[in-house]
Amino acid sequence: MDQRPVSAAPQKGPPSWKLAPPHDTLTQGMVVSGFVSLPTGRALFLEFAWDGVQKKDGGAWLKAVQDVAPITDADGKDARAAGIGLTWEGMRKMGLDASTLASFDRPFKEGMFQEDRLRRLGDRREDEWLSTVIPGGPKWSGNTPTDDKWCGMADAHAFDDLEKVVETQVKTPITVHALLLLYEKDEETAEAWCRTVGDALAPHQVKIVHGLPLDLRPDPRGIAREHFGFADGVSQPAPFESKVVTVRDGSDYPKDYWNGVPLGEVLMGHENGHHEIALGPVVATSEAGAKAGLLPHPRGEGFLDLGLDGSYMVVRELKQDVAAFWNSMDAASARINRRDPEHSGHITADWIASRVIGRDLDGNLLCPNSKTGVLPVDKYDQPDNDFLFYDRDKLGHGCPLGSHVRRGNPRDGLAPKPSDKQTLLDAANNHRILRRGRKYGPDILDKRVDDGKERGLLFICLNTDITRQFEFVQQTWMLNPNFAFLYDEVDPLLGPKGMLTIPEKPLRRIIEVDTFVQMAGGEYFFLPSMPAIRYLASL
Amino acid sequence: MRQTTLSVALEVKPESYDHLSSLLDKLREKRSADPSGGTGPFADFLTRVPAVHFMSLSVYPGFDYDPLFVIEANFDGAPGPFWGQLESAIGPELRSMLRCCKRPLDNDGPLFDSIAAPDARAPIAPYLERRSLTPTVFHHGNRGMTRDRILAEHKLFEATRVELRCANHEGPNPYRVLTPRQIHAKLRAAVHPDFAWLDQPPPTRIPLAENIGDWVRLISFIVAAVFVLSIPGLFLSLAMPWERYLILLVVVFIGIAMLLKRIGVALPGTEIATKFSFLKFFFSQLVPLLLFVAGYLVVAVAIGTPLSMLATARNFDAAWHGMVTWLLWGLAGAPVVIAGIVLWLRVIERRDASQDAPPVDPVMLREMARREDWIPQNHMGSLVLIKPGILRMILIRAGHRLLGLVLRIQARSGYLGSMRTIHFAHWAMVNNKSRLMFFSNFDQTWESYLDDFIEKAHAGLTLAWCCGVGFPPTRFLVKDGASHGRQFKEWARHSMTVSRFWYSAYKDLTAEQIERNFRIAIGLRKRTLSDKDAALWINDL
Amino acid sequence: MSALTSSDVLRPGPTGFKALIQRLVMALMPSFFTFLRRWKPVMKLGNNYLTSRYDDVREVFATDPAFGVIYKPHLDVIMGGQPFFLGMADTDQYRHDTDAMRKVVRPEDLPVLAVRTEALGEAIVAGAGGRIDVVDTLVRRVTFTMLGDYLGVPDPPGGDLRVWGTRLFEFQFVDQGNDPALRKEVDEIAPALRLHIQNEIARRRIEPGKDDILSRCLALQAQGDAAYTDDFIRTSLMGFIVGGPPQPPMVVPQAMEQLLRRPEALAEARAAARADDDERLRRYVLEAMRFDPLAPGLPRVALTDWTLGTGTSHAATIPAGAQVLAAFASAMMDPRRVANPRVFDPNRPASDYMHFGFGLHECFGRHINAATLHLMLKPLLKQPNLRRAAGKAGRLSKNGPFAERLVVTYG
Repeated sequence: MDQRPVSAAPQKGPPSWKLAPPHDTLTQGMVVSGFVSLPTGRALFLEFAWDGVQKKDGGAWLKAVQDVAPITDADGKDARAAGIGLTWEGMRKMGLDASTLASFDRPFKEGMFQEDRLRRLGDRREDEWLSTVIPGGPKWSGNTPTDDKWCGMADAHAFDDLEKVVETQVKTPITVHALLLLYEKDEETAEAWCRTVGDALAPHQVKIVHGLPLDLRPDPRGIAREHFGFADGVSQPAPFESKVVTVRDGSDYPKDYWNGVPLGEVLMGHENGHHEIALGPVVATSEAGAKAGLLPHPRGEGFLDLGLDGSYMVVRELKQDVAAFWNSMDAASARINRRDPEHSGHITADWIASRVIGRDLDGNLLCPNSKTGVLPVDKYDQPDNDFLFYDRDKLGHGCPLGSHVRRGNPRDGLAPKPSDKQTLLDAANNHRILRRGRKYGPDILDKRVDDGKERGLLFICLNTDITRQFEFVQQTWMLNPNFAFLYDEVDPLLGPKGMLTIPEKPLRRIIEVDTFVQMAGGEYFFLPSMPAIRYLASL
Repeated sequence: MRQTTLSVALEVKPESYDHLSSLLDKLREKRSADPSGGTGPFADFLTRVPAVHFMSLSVYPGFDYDPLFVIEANFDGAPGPFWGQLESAIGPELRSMLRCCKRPLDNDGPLFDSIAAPDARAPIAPYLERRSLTPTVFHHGNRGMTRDRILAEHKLFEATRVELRCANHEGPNPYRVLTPRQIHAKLRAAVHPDFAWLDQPPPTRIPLAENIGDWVRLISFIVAAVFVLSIPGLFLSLAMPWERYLILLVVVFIGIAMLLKRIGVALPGTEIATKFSFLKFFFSQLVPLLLFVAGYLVVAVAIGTPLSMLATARNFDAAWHGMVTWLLWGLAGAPVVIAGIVLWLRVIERRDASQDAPPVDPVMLREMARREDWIPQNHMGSLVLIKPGILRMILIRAGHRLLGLVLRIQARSGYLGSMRTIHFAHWAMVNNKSRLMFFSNFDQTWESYLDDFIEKAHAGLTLAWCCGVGFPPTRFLVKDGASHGRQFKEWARHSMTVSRFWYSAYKDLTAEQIERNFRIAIGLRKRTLSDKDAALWINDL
Repeated sequence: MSALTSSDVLRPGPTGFKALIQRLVMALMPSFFTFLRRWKPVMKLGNNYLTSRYDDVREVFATDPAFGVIYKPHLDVIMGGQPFFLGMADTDQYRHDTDAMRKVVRPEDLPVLAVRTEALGEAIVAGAGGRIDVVDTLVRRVTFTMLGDYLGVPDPPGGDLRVWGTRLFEFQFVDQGNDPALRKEVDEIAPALRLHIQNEIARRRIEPGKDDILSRCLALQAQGDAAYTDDFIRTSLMGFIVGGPPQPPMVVPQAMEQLLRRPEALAEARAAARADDDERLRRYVLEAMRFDPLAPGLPRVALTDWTLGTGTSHAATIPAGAQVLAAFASAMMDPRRVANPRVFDPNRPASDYMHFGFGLHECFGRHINAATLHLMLKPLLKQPNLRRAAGKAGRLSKNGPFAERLVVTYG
């Protein structure tokens, strides 16, 4: 159980956080852990190949899963682990009742591929997929149906001559209703386990329509690298809540000054960063619900809390083009060397790549006025994550303002004046996501030569308010062309071909970067709590 | 340069509500598929209505009232020429929209007939002028920047980018070997031929007269407020010996303070930790406050002494002396009056009904989403009912007036707290001051805009909006309130309508970018810069 | 001497005290209208009403069912009783006639006219030897040559189109007092011009020659289009000659005079001319014209009782039969609708101008004007060392409403 990045070796990090009883047995294990000790993984994308909605036994397949791959809870380390997420349409097909389905959060109900949402996430605009999506459009999504009553079928009334706009249903070839994540020690056992799961699902007409082999192999220092070669997942939010989030000896996990977020940012039913109880779905009180262990809802009389200790899981399959990345870095450094022969001795592809990310290959933050050019490692020999931007590097002379890490979490860096630092840090921490992604596909032999193989990152993050957390990060920070007073440039890593400003004295450099990362599929999933899984299995 | 923010709110014939909405949609589609402005299909708007920065046309559906058609406009100069330009650009369309509105029952009826009758051809500008509302509070993010200046300075910015990128295209970039000062000189020489205006002195953004006006209005307001608050003391001190008056003040004050202490805490479950503290605020503003009080004394003595000499036939010395003493006794009563008002307010606040789950119409929400996030700017318009009661009424009007005057002084740089994301925003009261309307043209997304308020400027926002029916529970006008993030956001969405027609004259420019362009232009207007100034200036390039 | 062979484009103007008074009235006009706009937006003078505010002027122009044109009696004299659309209300025939003319006066002609105008101007300026009268030598010659050629109406044998056209224009638009001397001249010129055009029609029917308005009309006539009768063609061409070319020699020199009074604006306009930035130059000339437009206003007659500015504080009812002067010169100076009207600002929006009227009878040639007026000055503005000639000749003199002489030197 570690709050540290999935890449950090647990024994080396600072004291990690855990959930106190009873929440530890109510929560899925992947909330508190990245399962670092289980380097192999599988993502199985499931489709319910049923016609229409199941009248009964919609949860039978989930019972079958529980038999062969019991979903891991958060009360300690297991020999192998599993996690599960469900789409809105998946639960509808399982026969969850309409009022429960209506009680989920709006973005989840509409799905990631609602056309206005795709525009905000930078995937699609005016019926065209953008260059940050794989050619031909994404392979998979939940294919959440557009709700007819929202798109022009409103009941007719007198004196109505408004033109009705029919919303476009964005569809992908593969429909995903549930995502099953399996974590194992090695490749062979994982493969065998997948077969077992497949066999168990087959009788229920639940098909594995897409699968990705996941991979997490930290080096001896505990650094795991994504395909471009950078240490991944270095900075994570650290949840806190008195008596619920604790350290090993049972005392409260202290609020981390730099990265602390209220538990409600990660788990429903707890207080969140906006001083409210993070909203979750509810079901009407029933025997099945009580048997599954759902607790009464604190506000809705006659209802059980289906959300408590659950979360929303954002999944995006991001295909990485490693050769394009490094070739683009080469081209950029060559151009700088040609355009500025006198002051460019130190500029190499690695130098530029670090500016794109904001950290060096080992995950150390770039900073000005340092001999090594980076922030020294912390006392656990890990990349230091307890830092702020304003005082050290306001103008981005070390870590560029538009670099991936600064866009991902600007901390106090957007403060206009010193007295606003704390406000901005607090504000930034209201938009954090807990990342649980892993890379997929084989490592590349020569990072400058394309071998034609599929590889990338299965981006997974947990949050309770998708709009305020994941979507905010993506839209207002990552893909905001005016982030941090920049102009006409977006995240150099995730965004389309464009510019990156590298502040420098006396004059900034602006380099051109290509498209390296393309979305191949994505959806919002409900990450149910353990009782919620039992309830859904009882449908 | 004077800039105007105003709105025109007109009641709509309910039968014509949908038709009006579709007229607005058509107007937008006629000009552009997405709600952006600046070039392409909007180009004629850009040349035909050169005064306008941002403009919106929207209809609020009717729940408590009949639907309301609102024209919101933010432009350079006086309203007259703007209306003339607008009429020449979309006069026929506007006229057919006005035909969907109700004939006013007051004296404007004939004027309405003359423009809305079938085949009416009289100019509509006078009617719009007549029905214009003055905002109770408004805010300009780039104060004093005319539209043409914003566009011209942005062109300059783009020219500098091209020059810095393309100079000596095949060989080494000449700029990389220069000192800051030389970079400035070379860049200026390179762009100067295309930007002859660099030789002209920059127009003042806030002319002296406007500056003085801002201060005079604020000072007069506070002096008047001090006077009003001391009126009870002035009367009481005449009615009783000073010892008794003093005892009375102390006793009442202590009584109120004790009561306040008891009910001043937040209601269970509504408290939100905030850095805002009344004591800190009070002490930080103590010096200006004392200055204002002194100013009040001077003004009041200057007016009061001759009057009292006339009335009582005292000589100047006695009159002057007596006047000062009397006014000071009046002032002594002011804190007690304030405490009393706060107590009264708190009693009301505790009984206020806040709406925990405001209903949000999914159809409206989808219509809003369909129009949002096409460009870096967005627009919102909201309409809420105002809470009843005489104290509320006084506090809203005085509070808005004060907030508006303070913003003119405090927010000249465009910053509200730590954020500068608003281009033009305003509040105005409609329906005989029973509803409060809010419009904003802001940068980034609606979510980030509201989050900014929730996280960075909740006190000011709560002050301006807590008078709205259903607003999250509030303490002392500024505390808690908007900090209830999700509840506040739902409340705001609930009050909003679809921005069916929205125009921006510079769709790619954030308020920050406009200021950045301004700084770059200011630097380039200067023939030379010192190395130190140039090094600072270069950070913006 | 017969009016037909006269070479004086303008009839002799008043002299002495009368001239002085006339100049004084002209000079005081703007202040007078400023006063009216503020204190008496709709002023009654006998059976005449003066409207001076932007909104009211616009309303008069826009409300053609209530405010008709008064051109018909004089037009009938000129056209020999044939109807011309300038004199009509918004009737079917009006629309029919204007549509027919729009078929032959085409937008794609504008670039050609622009090139011709500039070339003519260049030749004249080059040949003038460093000293030129902007009114007669430059603008009037360019206008009549260019438009006569475009319409297909050459100078009449033994006569001068400039004299004939201008004299008829004066009768049609200026002559309020029905001057018998002028009427006498018109009675000679009008039939002569009709005959001249009729002869041209006959000649061109046989020998179509170059492409111009006349040949286009005849081609349509030959195709059997019933609209293009000889009477219609003649009347239209005549209407264009009378209504069109006499005007640029008034407004363009007036614009030049305004530019000469504003050295900074003049320098910018010359820079635009030298840079061949025609659009920019057009804006300078249009703005200069705003300070001294064609006329103070245009007359209309109330066809029915009508209240101007209904519902406003200055509402005024104009009885049927009253004559109304819609003072568009004043409207363009009305600060209620025109931002900073006293400031010379070439970047004004289109709504700040009402040079060509508004509504039903908005100038038929406004597009030709927009394409050519500024180009008449362009060759002159390009000249180095451009300045007023010494003495009185270097200041614009007027004869009644007509610009008479403005001499400039250059080189």
